[in-house]
Amino acid sequence: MKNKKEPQNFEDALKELEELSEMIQDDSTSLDQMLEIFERGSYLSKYCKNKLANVDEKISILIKKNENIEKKELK
Amino acid sequence: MDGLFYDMNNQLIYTVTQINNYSADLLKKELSNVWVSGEISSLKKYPSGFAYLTLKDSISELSCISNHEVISNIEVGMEVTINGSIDIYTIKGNYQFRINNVFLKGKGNLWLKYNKLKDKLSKEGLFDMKYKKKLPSLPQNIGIITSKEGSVLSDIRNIVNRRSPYVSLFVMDTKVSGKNAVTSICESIKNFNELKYIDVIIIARGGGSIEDLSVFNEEKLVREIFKLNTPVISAIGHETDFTLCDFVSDLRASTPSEAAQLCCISTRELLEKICYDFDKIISKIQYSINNKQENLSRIDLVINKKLEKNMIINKQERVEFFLNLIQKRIIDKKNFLLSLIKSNEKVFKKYDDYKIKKLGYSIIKKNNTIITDIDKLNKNDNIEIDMYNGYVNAKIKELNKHEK
Repeated sequence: MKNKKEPQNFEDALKELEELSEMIQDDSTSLDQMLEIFERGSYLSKYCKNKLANVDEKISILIKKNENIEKKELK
Repeated sequence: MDGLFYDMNNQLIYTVTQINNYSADLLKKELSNVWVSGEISSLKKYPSGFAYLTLKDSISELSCISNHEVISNIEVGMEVTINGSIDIYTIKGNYQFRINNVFLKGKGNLWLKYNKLKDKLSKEGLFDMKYKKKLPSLPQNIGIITSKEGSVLSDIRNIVNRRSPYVSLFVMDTKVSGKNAVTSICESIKNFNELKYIDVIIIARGGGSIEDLSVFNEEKLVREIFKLNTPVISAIGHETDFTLCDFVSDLRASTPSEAAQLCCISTRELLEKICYDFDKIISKIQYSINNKQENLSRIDLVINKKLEKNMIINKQERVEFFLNLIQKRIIDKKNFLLSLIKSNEKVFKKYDDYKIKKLGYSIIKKNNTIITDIDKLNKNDNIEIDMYNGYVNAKIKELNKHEK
């Protein structure tokens, strides 16, 4: 698999997973390639599920101070 | 229409309900989103949230229905222009006007200004579909332009926390009503435009009178929204309120809650999508393995068939081989038995000779030939007398033949 790197973000990971699921449908895919796709796919689906499991609410208030925008977590 | 009835002359006859429903359909189709001007002649607000009012001119009256917020600044005797649709209360067969917006005539003809500006900006192309930015498929950082206080932010937070807790919210605390609202909102829009990590922006404000919402009809604000590089959703007022911000935004939500729902996919949906994609991979692999196994067993079958065929040939050969072997064995055995019999015969013979000799009989041989007839012997012949434990050479002295 050419793309072994860490996905940039959740959206990327989900997109790659979808692409893999399409790619594997090609009947010319060898069993070895399939196993590689399976490995990458299981990594990606775990990555996505972990991202989704991150249920801490994150809400920040943005305040502009001296040309900079500061972030303040809101409780 | 259900259950239409025709009489003997093939004349269509409606029921009361049918004619009322039919009228309602026609009127809704023809008379929705229309403008009417007149004077408010009566107004009654009910705790349910509805308000009933009557609009009149010098000749006629029009019954209207609305909610408290829309008519919050309205009093009996005011000259107004209302926007809305004709609606029939089918049970009573009455019709009424459902008010979406009310514009006071006295206050500088707000709606005229609104329409003029709308035309102008529309001609400039600010509302063109070709400028609409596509919402990101999976926004994770959502910018919100609204007041830090108030129910709008908590409505959005509730939706996001319930459906899509993976999303982060960034709030630019903004004045959305009052004198400085336009400046404040424009400032927030400019600030957000600098933040590249924001995937989508929601401009939100709760319901209010047309005067309250008129902030969102300001030209400066509309142009500022148009300049945004980030996709923007407007969620201003209630479902029936349309501001110029709604037209210039990439998407219009009827309420702040709906805006939150529109831009973030629920965790459940995403999990389903992940599982669906991964399942597709697994089931394809399973299918392929099964297929290969089938191929293998098919090959097995072919091999087995060949083997079976070979075995049949082998069996025939084997049978022949064993038959030969058995025949050979039988012949061997027979020969063996024959030879055994033969050797035994010799043994027996020897044994018999021995027994006879031991009894006292001896064998006389002349020139190695057994002689049983005295006539074949002569006087002075040399003979050999064979006894059980030795032999004797003798010379015949006298021959005496038995007399018959």
